[in-house]
Amino acid sequence: MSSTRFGSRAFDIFNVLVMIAVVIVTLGPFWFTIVGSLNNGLDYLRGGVYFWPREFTWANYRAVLVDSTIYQAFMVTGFRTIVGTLIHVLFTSLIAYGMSRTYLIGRNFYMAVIMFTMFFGGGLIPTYILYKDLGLLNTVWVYIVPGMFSVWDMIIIMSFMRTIPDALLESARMDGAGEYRLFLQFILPLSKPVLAAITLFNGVYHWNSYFDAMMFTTKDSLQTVQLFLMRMVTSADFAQGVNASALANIPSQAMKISPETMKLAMMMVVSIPIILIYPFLQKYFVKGIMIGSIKG
Amino acid sequence: MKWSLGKKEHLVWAAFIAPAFLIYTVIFLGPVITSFYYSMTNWNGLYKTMDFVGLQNFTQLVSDDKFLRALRNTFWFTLLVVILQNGLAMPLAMALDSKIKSKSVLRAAFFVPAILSPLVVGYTWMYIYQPDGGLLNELLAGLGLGSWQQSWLGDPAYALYGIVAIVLWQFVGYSMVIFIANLQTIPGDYYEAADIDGAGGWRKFLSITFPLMAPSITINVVLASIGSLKAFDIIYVTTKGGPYYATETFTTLLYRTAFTESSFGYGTAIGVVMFFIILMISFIQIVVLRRREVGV
Repeated sequence: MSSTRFGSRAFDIFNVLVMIAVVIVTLGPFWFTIVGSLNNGLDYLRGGVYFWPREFTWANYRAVLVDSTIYQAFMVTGFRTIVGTLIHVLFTSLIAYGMSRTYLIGRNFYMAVIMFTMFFGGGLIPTYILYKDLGLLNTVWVYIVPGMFSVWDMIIIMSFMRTIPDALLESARMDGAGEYRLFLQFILPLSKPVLAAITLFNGVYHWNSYFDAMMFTTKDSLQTVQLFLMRMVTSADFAQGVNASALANIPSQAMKISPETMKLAMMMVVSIPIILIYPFLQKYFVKGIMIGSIKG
Repeated sequence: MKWSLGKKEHLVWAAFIAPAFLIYTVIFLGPVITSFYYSMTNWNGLYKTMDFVGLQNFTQLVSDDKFLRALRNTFWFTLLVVILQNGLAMPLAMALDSKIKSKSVLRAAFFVPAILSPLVVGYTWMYIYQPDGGLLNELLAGLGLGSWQQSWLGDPAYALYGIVAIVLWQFVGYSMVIFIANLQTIPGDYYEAADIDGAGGWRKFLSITFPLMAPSITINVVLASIGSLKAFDIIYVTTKGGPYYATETFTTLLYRTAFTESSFGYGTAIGVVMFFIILMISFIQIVVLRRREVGV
């Protein structure tokens, strides 16, 4: 008996050690970025800053936050995140409700057509040509319109709406409620958990997007924060430019910043909003995925 | 009592479906259909003129070394990610579903990388993999393993594995959360009954846990496969398919062919082949894995 207890105790300790190792591996890379971003930029270039800032400073954050182009990029990303997500949730839940009524005429046809691209977007090239023909290139709508609808999200919302009993809707209909009132007064409020999940996920998607900005826009005024980050990291000239404008904006901090540490600060700045909403997100994540996958 | 449905209701439901369906047809379905056409032309994407070349692009693909290498890389990459991601996520999920304290904090920690933007993830790891002064090489030196130091993403022998490691870092937590949700649906009675019958831990895993985990295994395998076959961001951000094409996959080859080498027609043909391969693989996986699933 005591040997089993010893065995299970040893197993527990082993388990905890493995967990600690996994936590270090998971959060370590992130820590390394935080430390670098909080270190004096010129000192950082001497190397060896990994686990704790050698010369602590907030200057890199001040430098990236005073920049007016970054501010502009935040406005663009904020716009697409808020407006894009709201429109996405509205349009997708409208179609999901229609499709959740199994007695809808032509439902199987619509479903078959929609499932056709479940695994595949149109491909980059034809998509580019289409956006060009539609006049979406170099407008802010190229961030909003293609994201108005997603098959996966529709399936998740639809599966949830199917669990709303028909009897409830029928009794409301008997009381003379029209379909639109039904949708607004019953369906949407009852679907709150799944809509919350979709809202959060779509918000994260918009916040993290860089590819559409890179492919379909060329104007600086349409730059998103992620694209800004990308240009900062991949183009030395661009990073120098950001550095120079920071020096002009806050000359007193000149000895504390470098393009290198400003990149790290920028990586943190674009991640922090996501991490802040994360606790809410996690709660709904499993729900959303599980609902979707049962039916998917 | 069944509510009788008039023409009017159907029109109203059609109105629910119409906006998103229209967007879907134009934005998603349109490019899929035109991509079949472009894939049979020799269009370079710049001029208005193009010739219809039938299946020539496809026959050319069969003997194209670059394409065959990308095909090999994509499959090898996908196989590694699917096996390792699920192989790591399953034990983690079981550990976190059991009696460890503070498991919700751990769960949250493991999931964080999944919501970060691909740019932030890619750049963080580029800093870690840097040959000079990168965290990984410094750690190896610190452990007395200086001879193991590599230019991790710069050496064709290691680059693909370096990217696999990044993908695992980002998504093991994601698969884990799905496994945990499934584990929680398994009734505790089953294990108690097995205890009474004198079943050991391994036996319980094989006879109870593993079979009842089938639904989440299906989801995780399919999601990881589609995700890896279509992986673009992380490769584009870190290696762009290099060095010496060591990390070239479908998507990076498609991107390069179309936008760097201006062969829109040929690039689209790659996309069409990719579409059928993904469709086939997901279909086979779903059929095979679904057959294993049993109800609780």
